[in-house]
Amino acid sequence: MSSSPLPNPYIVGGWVSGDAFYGRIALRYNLLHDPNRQLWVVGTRRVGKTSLLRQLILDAGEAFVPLYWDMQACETADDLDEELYYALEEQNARLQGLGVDIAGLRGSDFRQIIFTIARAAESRRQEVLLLIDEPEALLDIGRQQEVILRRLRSVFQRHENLRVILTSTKAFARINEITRHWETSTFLQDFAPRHLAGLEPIEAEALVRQVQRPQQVETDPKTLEIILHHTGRHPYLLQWLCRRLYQENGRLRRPGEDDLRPDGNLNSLFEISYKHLSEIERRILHHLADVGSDDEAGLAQALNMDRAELRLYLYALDRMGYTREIDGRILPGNGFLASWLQDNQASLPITGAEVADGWVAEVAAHGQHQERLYWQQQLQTYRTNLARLEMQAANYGMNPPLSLVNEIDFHRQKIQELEQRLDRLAAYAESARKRSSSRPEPMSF
Amino acid sequence: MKQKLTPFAAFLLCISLYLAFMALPFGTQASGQAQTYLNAWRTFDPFDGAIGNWFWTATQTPDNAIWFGTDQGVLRYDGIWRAYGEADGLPSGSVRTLLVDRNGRLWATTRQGVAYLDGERWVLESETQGLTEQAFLSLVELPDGTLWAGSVDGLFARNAATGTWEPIAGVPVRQIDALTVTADGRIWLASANRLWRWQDGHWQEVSLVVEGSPLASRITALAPAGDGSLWLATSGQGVGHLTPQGVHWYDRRHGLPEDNVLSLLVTRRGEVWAGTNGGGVGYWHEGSWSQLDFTDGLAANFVTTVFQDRDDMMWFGTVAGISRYDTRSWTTWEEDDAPLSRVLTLLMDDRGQVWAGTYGEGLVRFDGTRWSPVTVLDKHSGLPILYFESSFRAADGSLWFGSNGYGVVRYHDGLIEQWTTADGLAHNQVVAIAQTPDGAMWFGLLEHGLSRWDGQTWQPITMTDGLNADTVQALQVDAQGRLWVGTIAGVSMYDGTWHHYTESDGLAAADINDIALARDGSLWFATWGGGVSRRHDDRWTTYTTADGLLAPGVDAVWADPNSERVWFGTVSGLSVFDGETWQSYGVAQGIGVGRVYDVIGSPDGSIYLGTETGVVRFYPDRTPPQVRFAAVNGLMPSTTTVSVSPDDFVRISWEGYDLVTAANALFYQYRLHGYDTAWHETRTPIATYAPLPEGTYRFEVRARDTGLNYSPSIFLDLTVRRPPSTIWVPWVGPMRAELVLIGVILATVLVLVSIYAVWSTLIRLAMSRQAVERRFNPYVAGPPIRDAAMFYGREALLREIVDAIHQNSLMIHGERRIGKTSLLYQLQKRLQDYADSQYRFFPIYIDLEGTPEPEFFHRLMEGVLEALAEPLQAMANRQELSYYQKETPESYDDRDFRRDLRLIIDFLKEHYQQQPRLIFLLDEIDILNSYDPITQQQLRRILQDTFAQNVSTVVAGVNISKAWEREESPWYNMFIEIHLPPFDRQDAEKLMREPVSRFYKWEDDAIHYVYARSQGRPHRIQQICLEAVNFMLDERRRCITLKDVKNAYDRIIASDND
Repeated sequence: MSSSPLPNPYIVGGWVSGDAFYGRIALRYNLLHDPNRQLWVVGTRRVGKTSLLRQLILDAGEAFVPLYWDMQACETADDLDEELYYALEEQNARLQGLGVDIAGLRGSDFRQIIFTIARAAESRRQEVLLLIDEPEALLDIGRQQEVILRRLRSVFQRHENLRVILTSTKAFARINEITRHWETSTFLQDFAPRHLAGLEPIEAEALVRQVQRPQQVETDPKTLEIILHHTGRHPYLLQWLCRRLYQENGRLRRPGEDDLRPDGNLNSLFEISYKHLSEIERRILHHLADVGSDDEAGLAQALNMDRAELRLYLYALDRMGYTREIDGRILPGNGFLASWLQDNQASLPITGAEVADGWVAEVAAHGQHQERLYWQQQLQTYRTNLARLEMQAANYGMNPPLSLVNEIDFHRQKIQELEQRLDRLAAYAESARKRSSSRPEPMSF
Repeated sequence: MKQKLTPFAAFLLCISLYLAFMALPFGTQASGQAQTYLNAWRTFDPFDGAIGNWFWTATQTPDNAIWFGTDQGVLRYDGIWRAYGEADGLPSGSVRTLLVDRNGRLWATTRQGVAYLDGERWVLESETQGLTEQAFLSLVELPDGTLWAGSVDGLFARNAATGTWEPIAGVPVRQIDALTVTADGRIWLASANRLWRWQDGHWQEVSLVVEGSPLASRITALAPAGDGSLWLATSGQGVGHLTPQGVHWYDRRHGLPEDNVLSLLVTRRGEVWAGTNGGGVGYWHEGSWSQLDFTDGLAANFVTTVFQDRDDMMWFGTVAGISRYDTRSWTTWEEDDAPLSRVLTLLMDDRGQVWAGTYGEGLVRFDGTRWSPVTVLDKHSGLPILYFESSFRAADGSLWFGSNGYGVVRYHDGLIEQWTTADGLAHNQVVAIAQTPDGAMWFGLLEHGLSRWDGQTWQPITMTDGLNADTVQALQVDAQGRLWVGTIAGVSMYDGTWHHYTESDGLAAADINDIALARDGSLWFATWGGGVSRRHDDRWTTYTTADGLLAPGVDAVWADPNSERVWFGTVSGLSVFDGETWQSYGVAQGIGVGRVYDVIGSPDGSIYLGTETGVVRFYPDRTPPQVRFAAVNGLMPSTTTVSVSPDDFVRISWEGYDLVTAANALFYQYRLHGYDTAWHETRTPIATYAPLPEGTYRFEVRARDTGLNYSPSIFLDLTVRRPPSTIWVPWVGPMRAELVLIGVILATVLVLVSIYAVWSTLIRLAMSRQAVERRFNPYVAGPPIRDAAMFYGREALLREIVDAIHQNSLMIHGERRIGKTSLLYQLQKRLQDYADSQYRFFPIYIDLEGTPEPEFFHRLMEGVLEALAEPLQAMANRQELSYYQKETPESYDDRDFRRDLRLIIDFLKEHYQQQPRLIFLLDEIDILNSYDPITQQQLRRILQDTFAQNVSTVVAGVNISKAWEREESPWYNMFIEIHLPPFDRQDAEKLMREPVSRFYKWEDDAIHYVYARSQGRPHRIQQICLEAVNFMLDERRRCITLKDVKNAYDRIIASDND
């Protein structure tokens, strides 16, 4: 009996949500529930920032009124207003439920719109979830009309039931350059950064196997291992490679040498990503392109840098997926990037970076602090739960139920994992402290 | 009728009724209505034969067939669907109006004019009849027989006498959207949001004002009411009712399910049905609106036409098929005053009112519209009497009701009287009542025999007087005035003396529940456990489940005084016998009315049933089925005479169909005259006879539907004769016919093959010669290839692209003239025909060449509207798109485009079951290189919009610039890049050989040369081939040689250099 070919399920390029979205579970929960109501998700191009925002719309549920504000192609304040109004149109039914007549808001500026929606949501004890995509457009607008940035910051801080999530590349950090002279604080000061890079291993495997579809993709363990390793679990690269390897019988073939080389799509992706690196970051990557991999000491020596300072940049590169650490060795974030670096190293400039080293270090330091807080919270939660579970187990004496034993084991593993993470972060944090004491005017977040 | 339930029996009854109830999934109810219609919905979709996406109009011809005008022609339904389209003479496209004129001729308005059905062919009224070719939207017949047809450009009248059309002058508008004639003979015309009335020889506009403002919405339908008033539907402001007092508007605030109304109908009873755009059907009845929608059984909530047939069935054309709503066949009531408990007895008074004696709710009366309780108080206690078991209408019109525990009650002229044991009645539980010709009333009692009352005195009659048992359950007086008494021990008859009948005399069973007198004087006895018995001319006949009775436990029998039909209420439902055949209505037949305690007929032909949960009314349809022969011994008979061999079995099959009864529920009778002595009865439309003796026979068959309507018989003459078994072959002598036949067949095949070979060679030669003479040269060196037959190669790539655009957007780049545009054309064609379970693809090819930047988004939407012209015809708010509102193309920006596209996608989502996926095929995308980056960014914003999950984009260009200076994401990074390479050797050779393979030959060296010189570039291949063939043709050859291609190549290079 013959069967019709199964369509290739992998999505390369466009944003995804719902059943097509995989992973980021912890981050999604954190973005919706973190006590800090202003969050900045930083990631390279194609890492899934728009998809994350689209997925948050679905995750938001009844407690939130989500508004997806796409700022790309906005050049003026009027553009921003128009796009925010367009976001209202998309949520028309929900807003009608709040008693908001959106037609009456046509032509209003974003302050008026956000004020109206926030007030209406407040009456129903709901939170407005403002999801801002491509805020890089604010760089040009801010250069022309700085007052717009002031107004935005003021609006973000004004409403207690407003949660703002920005997604952008690292280049958006330049907004602080524009607002550095503000007497109060810079634009991004109140935003807690969150990094977006590769998926967790289990999430990446779920994507490869397409477990959220009725027809899952079959793959052998070796193929899966190659895919996860070569892509660094970067969602775009995973989709890109799996799309190549997919066969009409619903299985992934083992990748060949050609499959693991970047094509035009990836070349342009890496070119853009490279642009967003600071000089030191570029030097690190160039060195890795030369030697393939190196340990921290080797890198510090090769770059003639203090190890503590180097760690800060390594942290920045690691969290953005440019590098990864395996068994104490640091290497490019994924196999495609490694190939691309080797192929194009000669033509890749080191100097003249748009992003200053200082900005990278500031973002990294702030990110470490936030990340440490986050993992500490998580650790505390797991420890509390473990204590409860152990008390329950004690009630059973010598023969606690197997499910309870498994649950306790799982919590112990998680705690161990989190402690290791925090240990690693502590090393980075040490470097951040040293750095802050050595520089008189740190860029504050 | 019987009522003596032991606890165990009661338990069994409850269980069986519960099961019957559980097996009753067909009940449905119009919200807000008191009636419930059982088994009411049936939907016909393309799998049934109801082909079409839009059902615009419906009508019924005198032969009872229902007709629908669709976007794909006309459909006829008479139990079988038949589609009429271009092959039948209809122009392509939508049929918006169907009309049956007074002569029974069916007319249709089409995109190219007005057509009528002549036999099985449609004839389009042409210019010779005075009708120009244009789209007609409306058609109406005036009281004098003149037809008026409204088109997009005027109004035309058809003279009934001459058959010619003439334009009508003085019409106030060009496009006529709707026409109608009200009961008072006035003609109405609607166009856009305005309405005119033809009065005193001119058109007079009717002011339509809604809440102080002129009507803003389009008028979508006009529906005349029987009282001369007019109803009109609008595309956004509900419906209006136009009466001499003015217009009364109804919208959602009044209960109309949706303000955008697509279709409208006023029924013969004055109810209004409004088919809406998304809200199902609105139903106006007794001053309020109620709703029927998908959850009730309607196929979809987008209802484009509403129609009522002669059997009062409602038909709804929806976007998901045609739904039929049967509001007539099976009705129950759920209003407060309707009986909801067990109904043991039913009675029809001389005013046609139905009286129901219930077990727990007393007496309830139905006047044809509403139920109302009749309170009967016990004269002793003053409490209401709630338990009734029997009823009878006396000769003087008075109504008698036997109660359980309170004796007997008479209702006459509004006066209620009661008699109990205190008055002389032998027992207060009265199970049966009758009246003998002497005027005496007889009462059957539980365990106390009979009581006779002559108006003065009471006389008890028991076994001691000659009765065969003291528990009497049924009474009936026959045509001779004799009293028949049904008891638990058989039947007693009194004609001055007592006579007794039991099973030994032929009675089906001894436990008699009911007796009825039929029109022919026969008596029918309903028995408990044995079926029914008929006594006619002193002979007994028994009918059981083997004959077609639904169950052996029969509670009630009622003989129709106007026909041969006898109805039986059984423990499992209803059965009827018409003297020839049986029909039952039980769970297996889709009607689970449960146990039927009593049956009574109404003068209007309906049958009322007393059931466990109230009263059910059954109205059998009156449209007979039809039948036609399908095959005789597997072959379709071309005439009504068929010859068969006496050695063969004869297998005759036929096909029955009916408007109401499903084909598998039809019942057939057939007989072979000259062979059979009686009808055969079957539900399988096949008759098989063992080999028949030689002779002539006549086969007759007829169908019967569940309403007991019979089709006319159809006949087939059978001639049974032996074919000659031997044939005289010259020079050989007699041979077996089979061998001769095989020989003849073989010889014929041989001759045919030889002829074909010679013929095809000659044709080939002739074609080649002609090709040379006509200078046939199919290669195309200039424009892109649009014809799929001329498109070669790229098959794997096309498959890959089609697979990828399920989820992704693609960027195809390749050098000039590598075939990008041709590829996009093929992609467009492939997607148009692509069947996908998840998506419905809408390819939109847009050539951006020369598009000025300020008009970019306008150009995109222009492409969308061109590509989706047909699907968007039904988009009610299409004109509200910004595209139509902006004054100049330059003022149409990306936000306008996004809003318009969002509306369009929302519309497509509502109208198609599959997810719509718009595939933009943007050719010459290089033009973006010259645009401001902000325009590129705006394009990206479109592609990232929420509706992006319904959009894919394939862009094609030569050198798509990736220079990017903006801060945001680059526009091109969301595409999968595909490089379009030159042809490989295999595809290149295919491109060279196949276009001319039937006429010319290629030398292999020539093929090598062309491929080497062209390096696989399709345009260059076509150029060389084109020139080479010209060289060959100049020398009148049919083979393309190396010399030809070399010459061709040299000429092309020289031309390029020039």
